[in-house]
Amino acid sequence: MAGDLLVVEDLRVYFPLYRSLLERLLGRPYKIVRAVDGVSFTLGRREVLAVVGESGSGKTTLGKAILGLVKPVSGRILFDGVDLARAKGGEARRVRRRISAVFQDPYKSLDPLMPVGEQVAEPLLIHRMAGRSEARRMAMEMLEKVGLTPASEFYWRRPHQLSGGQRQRVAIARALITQPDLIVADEPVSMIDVSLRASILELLESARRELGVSVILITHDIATARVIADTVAVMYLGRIVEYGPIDAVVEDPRHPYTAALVTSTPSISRRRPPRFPVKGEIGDPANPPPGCRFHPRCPLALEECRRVEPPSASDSGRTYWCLNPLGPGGLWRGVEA
Amino acid sequence: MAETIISVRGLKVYYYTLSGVVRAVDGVDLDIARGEWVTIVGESGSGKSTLALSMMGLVLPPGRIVGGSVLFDGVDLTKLSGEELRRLRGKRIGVIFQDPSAYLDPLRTVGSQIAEAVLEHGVASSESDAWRIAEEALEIVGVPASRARAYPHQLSGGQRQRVAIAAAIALNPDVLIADEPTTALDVVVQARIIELLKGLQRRRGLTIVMVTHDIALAGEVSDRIAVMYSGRVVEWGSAERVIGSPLHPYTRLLIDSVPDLWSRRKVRSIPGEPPDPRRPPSGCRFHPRCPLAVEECRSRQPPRVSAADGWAECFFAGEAGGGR
Repeated sequence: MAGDLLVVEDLRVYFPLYRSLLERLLGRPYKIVRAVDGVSFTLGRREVLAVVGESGSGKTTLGKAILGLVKPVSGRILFDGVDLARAKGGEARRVRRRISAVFQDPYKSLDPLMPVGEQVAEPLLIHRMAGRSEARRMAMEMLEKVGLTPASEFYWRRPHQLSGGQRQRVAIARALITQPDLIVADEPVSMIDVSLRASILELLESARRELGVSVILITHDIATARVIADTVAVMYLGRIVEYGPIDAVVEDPRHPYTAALVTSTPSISRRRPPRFPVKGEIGDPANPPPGCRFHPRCPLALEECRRVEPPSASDSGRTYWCLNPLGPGGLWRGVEA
Repeated sequence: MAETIISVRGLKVYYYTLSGVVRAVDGVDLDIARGEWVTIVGESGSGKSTLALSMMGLVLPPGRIVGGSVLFDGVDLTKLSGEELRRLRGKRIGVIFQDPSAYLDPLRTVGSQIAEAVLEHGVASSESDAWRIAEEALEIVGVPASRARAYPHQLSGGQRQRVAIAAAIALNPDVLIADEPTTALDVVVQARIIELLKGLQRRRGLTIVMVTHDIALAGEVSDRIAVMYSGRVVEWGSAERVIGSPLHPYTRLLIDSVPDLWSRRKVRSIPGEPPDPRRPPSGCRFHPRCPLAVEECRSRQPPRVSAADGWAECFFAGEAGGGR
């Protein structure tokens, strides 16, 4: 589609697993972890997409692939029409600087010795987008925008002089300063004090509203996702199992894993569906089950789910990969364990 | 209300660090009834873990109990020797932590670790008895007895936490202290571990004291909730009332700051930052962040205002728009 900023097609990222010396001497083959194993989606301009899944689902690897931090084994990542996996030299650099990252731990992602203002200005210098004094002026402005006021004071502070929430604001300012089209934010609030998380989400939301940025929000918490996301991709063992507008996917999911996820999330709301019962735990990404990867845990699994990889199906705006999906409203009626 | 099993009075636990005295718990009173589930909710640095662990006399240096008492079944834990405490712990008060692999021995099977504890505390008289009790405990928590011969690394994160629970309940304690027991687990597994604990509370009359930063989780499972802020329990009461009509402004704002999947209300952060526990604010410790604060809040510790089911430490308790 012409309006799409990002098109991901059948993306696969595999990692070889560590072999011990003995295994190497015996010539044992590499075990392969299929962290991302055939993922496709599109992201529009000004869209916020949440990628939700538990640890081992591949959500972080997907984000890293989009950021160019890991190399896919196959598939395409088209950013504004340019294939990121194949772009080289100047073209690659021009495209890459339009994508920024925000990580979970703002203490690890910031330089402990450098004044935070200089760290916000740094990307402008690296990408030769401004001279030193111009970069400093723009960094001051950006610190104001993310709520670190007075900026002239915050500019010279070191990361250890800031709280966790303030450090994450610095990381977001640094991500926004190059005026990117896309921010990939991997668990940006997980390490922030509970009472301050909403303001970090609000910051990402205002980046979309005021600067027109698209956001990929990677999170294990679908309640956090629902605060700012338009669409959601629910991942399980390297695959997207359900994708669509977040309200539709949460309130009326088709895939049993989505049903388990939303009904297991703690809530104080009186209006909520009954717990959807699943067994066991997420499998080993080096050795995923055949057929549908969720079948060993699924209360609705059919005989053929063990053998057949479910094809995609669509229903009122959402796409899901399941042979025996919940029907409309099925979440609220519940399932016997 | 049922018999009180743990009674905390005027408890103060301070950590003497190089950068100053951290007043982790600074004047806490709580009564926990036998068989109930109490959850201590708070943000990082609020002192919630320190409070829970001091209920089993577990205060590690540079921490010290500097005031108050912890009565466990009538015995003041702050007066016991290390040896007396060790006998009480495990046997009468079990504990599980966020990361079970941190205290399961990676080189020994999980069954032998449980059996050893069972023997040490005199719950069984022979090794074969101890092994049988270990297997039973594993079955109770939903781990097949055949897994008793597994090593910790052969188990998933959720199973390891089940093993930790089995090790705790094998000694048949009165109280289980659960310090962020599901924080490291995925939410689907979390729900099942919580269900398991809920079943143990109901069927065996186990008293549970859980620590969490997740107020929604607290609201779902607890009988009563203690909300901690900067070393003090600022609100205490039935889970339903604390969540449904909080008396303390902090409780209300905390609830409003957390995304809830099933209500489409807007989330708002609490202004300001949590205080540095080395330099807690004067008067009411929440006053710098509180929209209702007046001059008095700066200078005086607020009174404990009673409700039918508990209390809140606030000059305006109940006027904070309690009915939500």
